[in-house]
Amino acid sequence: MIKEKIDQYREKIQKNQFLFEELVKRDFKARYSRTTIGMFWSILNPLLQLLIMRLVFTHFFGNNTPHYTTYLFSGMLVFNYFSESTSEGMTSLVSNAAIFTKINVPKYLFLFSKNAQSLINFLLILVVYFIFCLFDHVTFTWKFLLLIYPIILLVVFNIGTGLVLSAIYVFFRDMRYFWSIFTMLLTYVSAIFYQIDSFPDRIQKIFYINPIYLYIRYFRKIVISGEIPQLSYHLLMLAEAVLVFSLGAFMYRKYNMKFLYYV
Amino acid sequence: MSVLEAHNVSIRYLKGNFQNIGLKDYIMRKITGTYHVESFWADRDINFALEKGDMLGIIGTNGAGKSTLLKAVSGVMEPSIGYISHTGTISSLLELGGGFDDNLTIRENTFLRGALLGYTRQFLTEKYDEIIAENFRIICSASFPQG
Repeated sequence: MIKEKIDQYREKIQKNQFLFEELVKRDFKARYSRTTIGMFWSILNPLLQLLIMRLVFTHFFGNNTPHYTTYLFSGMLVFNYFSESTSEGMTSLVSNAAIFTKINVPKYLFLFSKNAQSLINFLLILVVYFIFCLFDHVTFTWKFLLLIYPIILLVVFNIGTGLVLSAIYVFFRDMRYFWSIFTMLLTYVSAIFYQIDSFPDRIQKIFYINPIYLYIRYFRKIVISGEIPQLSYHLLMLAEAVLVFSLGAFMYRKYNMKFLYYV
Repeated sequence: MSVLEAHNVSIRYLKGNFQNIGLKDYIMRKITGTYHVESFWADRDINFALEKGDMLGIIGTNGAGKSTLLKAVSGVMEPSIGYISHTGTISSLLELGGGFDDNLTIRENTFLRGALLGYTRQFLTEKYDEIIAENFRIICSASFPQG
């Protein structure tokens, strides 16, 4: 029974793989073909952000936080990946309306294609991140390999959020503005540039509802402190990612045949 | 079973002022009562069965429901009543210009189109020259980036 399901999935993946690759190529070209420094800018932008934040916030928070640059960068790394992939993914379904209203293709492929782009971006910045860690005198341990876990979950979480957002965007086009306001507010409650130690315990627990904070904290724990979080922490991260992904998959399944009336 | 069968297919189509609006507009329209969704039957009780090698021509006036029926056959829409069953794969040739991108070269566009229609990469690499040769005139009349 399970073997059949796996075979079914494998068939599906094989069938769609070619289309997926072509969509990724197309989106890649669409994004970078008219810019001169294109890809380079995707890396330069977050670095500039990091520099400014480091200069400004060190005065307020940096003196108490060890490895503040890494601390900041961990936050920005995760947050920017989330913010960028969800914003880009949100419009992916609507912008491919010309295709899916005429040809029967799995609609989630458009989102996957956008997410593939964002993931590549993220991995590039991740490399830069590790370089910065070196300069910040962070000790590299085998535990860094565990970072695969939050990264995979982050991919799932971003795809899930993207599925939900892109579905809502079809029906309500001002979702884009709501989301950009939401992500802006999220930057302030994700403890990107401050520590939560100064808050009372009750407030600290509230931070754990924020999935982005969870992923950021995981990175910081492994990279800066060299500690592996508890099992319950891992499970919480997993639960939140799976929850959002399931919601997104559900929405795509439910509204699959309704989308075309709204584009 | 025949290659393609339609059983008592009836398809509802929706029209109204619900497209391209935001949440704000939706709420406003609901409150003021100006939000309307019209649904009508685009196709009613369609039945046919095609065997291998058959060709079926569907003729009708504007708005008769031809495209809607074809969309249901290809899976873009689903029948509100009845069902359509088929063996094998279905390729749609609805509106050939759709999906062409100015950013991409001819080769990339061809491959993307082929992928959308369900062909494999291997098939397209093998048949690429043939495809280009057959459509040479059309390609020359358009302008694409070099490649």
